[in-house]
Amino acid sequence: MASLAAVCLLLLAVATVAVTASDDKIYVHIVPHTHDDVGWLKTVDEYFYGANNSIQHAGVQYILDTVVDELQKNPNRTFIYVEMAFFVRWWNEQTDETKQIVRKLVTETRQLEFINAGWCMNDEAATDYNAIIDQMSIGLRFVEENFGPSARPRVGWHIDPFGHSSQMASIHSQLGMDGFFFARIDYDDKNQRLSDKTMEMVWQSSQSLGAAGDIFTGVLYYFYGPPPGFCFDVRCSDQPIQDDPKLFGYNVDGRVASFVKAAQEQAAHYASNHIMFTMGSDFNYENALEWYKNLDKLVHYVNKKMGDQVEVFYSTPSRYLDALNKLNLTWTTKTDDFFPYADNPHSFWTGIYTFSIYRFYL
Amino acid sequence: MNDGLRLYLSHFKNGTSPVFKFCEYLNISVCPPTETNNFSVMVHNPIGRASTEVLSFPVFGTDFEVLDSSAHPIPSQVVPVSSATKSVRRYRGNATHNLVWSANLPGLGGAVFFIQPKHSRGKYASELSKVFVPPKLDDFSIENQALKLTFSGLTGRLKTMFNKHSNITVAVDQNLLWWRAKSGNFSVQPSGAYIFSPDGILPHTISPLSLVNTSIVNGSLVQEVRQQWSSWAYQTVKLYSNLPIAIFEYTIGPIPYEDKVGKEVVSRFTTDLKSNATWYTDSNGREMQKRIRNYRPTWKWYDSEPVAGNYYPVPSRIYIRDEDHGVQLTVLTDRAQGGSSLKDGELELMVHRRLFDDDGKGLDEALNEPGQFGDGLIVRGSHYVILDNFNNSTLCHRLLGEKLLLKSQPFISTFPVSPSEWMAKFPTQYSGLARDLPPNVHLLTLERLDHTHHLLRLEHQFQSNEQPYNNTVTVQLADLFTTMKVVDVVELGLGANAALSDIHRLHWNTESHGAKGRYQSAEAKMKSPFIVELKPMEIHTFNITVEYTI
Repeated sequence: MASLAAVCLLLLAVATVAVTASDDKIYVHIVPHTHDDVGWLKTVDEYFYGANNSIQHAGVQYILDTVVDELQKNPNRTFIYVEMAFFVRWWNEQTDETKQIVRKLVTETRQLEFINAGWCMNDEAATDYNAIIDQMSIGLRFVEENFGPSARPRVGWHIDPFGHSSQMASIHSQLGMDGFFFARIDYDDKNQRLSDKTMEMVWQSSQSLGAAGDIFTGVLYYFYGPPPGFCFDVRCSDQPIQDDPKLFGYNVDGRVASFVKAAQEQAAHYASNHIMFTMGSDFNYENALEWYKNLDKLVHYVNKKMGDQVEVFYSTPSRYLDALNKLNLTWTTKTDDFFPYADNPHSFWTGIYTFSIYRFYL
Repeated sequence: MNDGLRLYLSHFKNGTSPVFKFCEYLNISVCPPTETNNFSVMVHNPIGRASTEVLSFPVFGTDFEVLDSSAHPIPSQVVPVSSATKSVRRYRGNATHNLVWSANLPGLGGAVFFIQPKHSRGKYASELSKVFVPPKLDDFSIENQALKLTFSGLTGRLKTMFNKHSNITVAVDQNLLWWRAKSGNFSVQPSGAYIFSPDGILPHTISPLSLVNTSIVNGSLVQEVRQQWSSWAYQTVKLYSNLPIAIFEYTIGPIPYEDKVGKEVVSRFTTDLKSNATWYTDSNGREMQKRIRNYRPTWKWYDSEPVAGNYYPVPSRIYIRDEDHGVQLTVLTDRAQGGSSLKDGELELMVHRRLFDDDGKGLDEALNEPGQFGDGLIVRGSHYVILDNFNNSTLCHRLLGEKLLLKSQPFISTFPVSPSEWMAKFPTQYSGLARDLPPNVHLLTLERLDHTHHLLRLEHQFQSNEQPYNNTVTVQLADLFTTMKVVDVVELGLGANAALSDIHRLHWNTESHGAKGRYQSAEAKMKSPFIVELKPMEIHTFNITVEYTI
């Protein structure tokens, strides 16, 4: 109970800060996440169990196992889970005891949050609205039936699709989402948005629906990964936080300085003094301990040493949205879509549009 | 599904019920049950409105007659299997012809058709198509009640389209071409699964000067021009009786690989329409997005890739407009493709690609599938082409798009009973709807949740600027269905995970207006007779409680 109370206080503190934040302080929302493709180089079931790791090392079952363990160790820690195709496979294998623990993490301590929560993170270019609505509904209804209204997803999270459609924005809006985040937009578009501080906007996605199709939209900064040097996954080789001054390689001061620099750099390109750090990437958190042990230290030391300039805390995209919303800023708007996607002047991702050509019709 | 159908039929009479089969290779004229037997077809129409569909099944021989669901003979035509089809199916079938007829199907329902050898005196015996090679150098044409397509005798390609109802004639050249993919080393970006990276700004021809061999198939239900560019590029241009749509069925592949040159094949329509650097593509099958060549609405376009950078997703349709003459050329696809308008009056769609380099974006593999026979993939698909004024084009592409998304589904039976026996035991026509939905309204979802609850989604399928179909429409739910009465309705959010009245979104300030807002009435419960109002592009989601009436 004591730890639960601490969580509530922390949330209150964040909310209070957000309302009054007209200061220069930067508020860094740490968003631990994993991006789990529902079938890519391997099949969805191979990804779930971690089979055929010679093709790609990835096993989603271990991600959910170890994250659930790690969240229980520190009530401040958060995690978001996105792809229900994997979560449902995992959930079906759990004991009632584990399910109770997970329910508590979702609905009581609110450390584990379902984000997007369709069956998969669908492509937006070559898909049909009927299929998108169906696959989103399957995932969202699973969350509702198993975790209730308090777990209802509030954020569209399409960090990997190669460009973004107006209809997808409109669908997310009509699903009741408060915001929509993604990573891949044209490199020139991104450069301009960075310099104009328009990485976040209100997307007026439907001329026909008007305001009902509007959705707050944010483009992520470091693609969907962590700032350079701060990947603590088993598959990364960045330096851990070495915080015993008696040992060789003590690096707290340097790591804190780099972190603060990354936060300042990112904040300089966004409209508010709240920013999100996406701490994770493809199939990350297979051993969640490595991530959380270092993130705990990072949060502790940055706040301790640089807390007057940068305040850092575990968060989620929906907590980030709430913080932004309370600032009561006025946002720019966007009415066209995010196609085509190019990541450099000669790499237009327009071949993928003719990818489902092999579909058969009866 | 077969069990489900048997269960459905078992409701009616005890005894043996038909077993239904599916044919996955109907599009290459392979379907063993229809090739060797008398057969019946139950055709299900999933859209909420009666529909006329042209059906086609492979058969062996030419002497058949088709009976409708009242066992009355109806007109049919036998069309010889094309050499393009034979090149695709290889050893997988022996059908000589396709038996074609036009079927009237009820909304959210189906009808049974009976196929039997023709009676010697039957006046409805299937019509034999006339097949001939057009005289050299003379232009030739096919036509139905709505359209006339004229082909060049010199090239064999489409030359003009004439819409008889709207009296619009446009010069249209349609050609199959290919982009040469960049390939190779670290200094260039190769084409791959993700990236389109053509070498140069001119596509290559498949045959010298794009000359095409042609033959004509004539009949009262179907007219075809069959075209061949090469041993790996065929096309059949079809007109069906009464339909104001020209169908271009391409058959491409295996794309030659011996030269190790990546090829990305396109179908290109070239017209004299003044399209003013502008074209339109759909967003996931719904609202149209305006595209302007070499331009981005919110930043300065840097012309680094004049072809690939002008390609946009075409999930279902693309069109150009000549604003001065009020003429629109629309192409609907039967699958998502990339497309563009690289010059005024032009439309192109990428239909197939075979590539020999990885594009360096993570797949670590070239897009070079060997396929079932080891020599590469063959792609067969259709483009549905509409030439008309703006309003007619809109109506036509929205209603056709609905049908292409939810195609009618044939279930084939070789149940050895006569039509009269079948009719005595089982229904031969059924509809789940008491009345057709208006053309603006699409039945998006009808899903059984439990014994008494269904998930229902109704959609207005026109945009606010698509006159004159942008009117607000109402649908009464209480007695909409034939087999169940709606007794309670709760409106849900689009995801069907929450009551609409429970959804409260954050408000965001913008220069223009707030991002709040719902278009639905926020009443938790609707009152009988449950009248739903739909405005353009709205989708309404309901949990309906039903009582069965049969």
